[in-house]
Amino acid sequence: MIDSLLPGGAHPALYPAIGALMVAFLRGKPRMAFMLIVPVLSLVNLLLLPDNFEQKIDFLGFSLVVAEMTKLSFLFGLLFHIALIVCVIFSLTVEDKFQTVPALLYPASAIGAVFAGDWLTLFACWEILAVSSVFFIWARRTERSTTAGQRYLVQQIISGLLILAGVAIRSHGGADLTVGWFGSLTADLASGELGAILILIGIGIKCAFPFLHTWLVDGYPEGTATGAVFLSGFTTKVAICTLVRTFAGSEVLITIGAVMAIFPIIYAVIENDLRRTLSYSMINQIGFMVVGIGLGDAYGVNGAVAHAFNDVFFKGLLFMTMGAVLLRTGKTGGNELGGLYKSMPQTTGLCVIGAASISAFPLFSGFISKSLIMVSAAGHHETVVYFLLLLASTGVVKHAGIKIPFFAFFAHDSKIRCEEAPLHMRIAMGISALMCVGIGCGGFLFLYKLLPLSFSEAVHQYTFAHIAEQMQILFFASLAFTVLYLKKIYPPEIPSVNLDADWFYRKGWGVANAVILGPIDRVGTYFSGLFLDRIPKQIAGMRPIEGATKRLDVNWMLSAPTLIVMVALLGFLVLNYSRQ
Amino acid sequence: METKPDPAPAPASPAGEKKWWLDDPKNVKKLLKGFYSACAVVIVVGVFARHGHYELEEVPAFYAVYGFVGCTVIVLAARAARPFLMRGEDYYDR
Repeated sequence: MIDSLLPGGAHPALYPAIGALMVAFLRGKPRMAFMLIVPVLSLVNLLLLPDNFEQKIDFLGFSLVVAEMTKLSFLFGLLFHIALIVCVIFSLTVEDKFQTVPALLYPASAIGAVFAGDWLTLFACWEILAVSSVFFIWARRTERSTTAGQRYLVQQIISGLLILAGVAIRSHGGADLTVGWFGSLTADLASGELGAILILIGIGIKCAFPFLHTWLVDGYPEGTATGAVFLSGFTTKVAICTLVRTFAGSEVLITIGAVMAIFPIIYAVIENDLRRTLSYSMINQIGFMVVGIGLGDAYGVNGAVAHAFNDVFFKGLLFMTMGAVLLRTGKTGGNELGGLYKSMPQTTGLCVIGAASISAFPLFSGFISKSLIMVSAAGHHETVVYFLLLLASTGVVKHAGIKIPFFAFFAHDSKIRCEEAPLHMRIAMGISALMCVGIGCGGFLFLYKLLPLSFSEAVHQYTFAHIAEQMQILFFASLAFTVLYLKKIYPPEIPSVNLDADWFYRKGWGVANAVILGPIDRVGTYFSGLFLDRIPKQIAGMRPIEGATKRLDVNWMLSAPTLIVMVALLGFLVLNYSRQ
Repeated sequence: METKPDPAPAPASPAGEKKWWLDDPKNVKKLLKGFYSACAVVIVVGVFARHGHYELEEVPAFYAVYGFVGCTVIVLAARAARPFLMRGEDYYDR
């Protein structure tokens, strides 16, 4: 018993989870020290765990595998621990309990999710992940962040419920509760099994699949300066890890991923809020990973996992620099910023490192992970996908590599003069920058050893051809930006809302109500009035009573949603029976 | 719709502030010249590279053209999409 509490035998998420409960009672320096010690101790525990580590508990008659060590879970566990340490340093002085408790609980649930061996444990962690993370948005305490947080939470919870529904259906059909670690549902998805489809949609929400992605671009930019950094590191990476475990090698992911890599670029170009630009950029990067997982071979899956690993640091770094800018200036709009390199020269330099990494500049981390996915796509003769990803790469250079540093720190001088980012923030950004450069300059050899699948041959990234083609892409995409900007063709930064799929539930509902439900309602009112009021009265030889139909109106309005649910359930039943 | 950026990077910093290297338009020009030359070097060096996935890649400067055209197309597409997508900042609050 005591073994399962000491380093080298404890559940990898145990220390941060317990720490989250205790941190609420601490303040000031003791709290800072505590929040730094907990993740370091937890990291030591993780590194000491044996390769075959497994923890089971019996719960309500289920034998649950609450932790299972695999190469994949170890890599993501390691990633989340380093990310947690960086995030804690970045947010060290935040004293708000609504952020300090989630600061440990949220990463703990992410670690729990990647180590979960069965679906029930995964589901529990998945939902704790959802609930604990929303506080990073709500803690901004604006009207906008409150409503964005609500939308975020609802979608995150639905994601988990869809998974639970899928698991229930599968378990009814005789499947056990094991999640598996590599493509365990790929065959079931290919045969069109309903349970697998529901699980894919559930994971797809967290992965920000097209049309299911709006919580990300809606929620993250409304987070606090430090909260958005936490958010960028964990949720989508848990989803990527789970996607590898369940659907690696599913062809549908290749198409979904390619769409994800392309469409956000358009939004990223015209988006004014730089943190929202980064959120679109994030979907674009996840697109690359989803393609890799769909391709399903060693290059594709390892590329996806390595890219997820690197993304936490370069995207985290970019979110941190924008967080520092938000902290110092109170602004994140591209139209309001500019010329900040004079006030924040170190933050500027760190931002450029993050930008170079995400653009996949040689010697930076993006270069050694994105190319694995490209090689896999070419190897599978996915020519269209290959050239779409190449197009997406040029887009990344433009919207993340140049736009973020250029509009925040250079461009026209906004005349804003502020202080450099606080020391602890610069340290956190420095560690991330070191990860970006370190992995790009040789650290990748170590990272490749940790990847879940083994390569059949040695991987050579720094070949003359690879560097030459990447330099051409980078320089000429940058040249295009320069020319378009100088010729004033480049769309100017304008504060605005750009319509996205969230229109359908934020505005479209009113339209649907007027166009579809409105007429149904009127027809319904007419007939209910006819049969329940006028005809009986006619028969009885009486005049219609004023207001009788109005009352029925209300009933009909109440029953309209019920009707929709009934039709959905009926469809579900028919679908289910047609499969038997 | 179009809001013109500042006509020139005028060095109108608050009085008495340190002059930065980039404040001088001459230096910005120097930087751009350096960048254009680097582009040329990248093209010349790239001619000697052999890639091997697709025949198309062996066309000299293929990646340079793809990068330039790709980026331009994306920006133009975004420009074209703006009238359809852009709404006022308070669109969802109304």
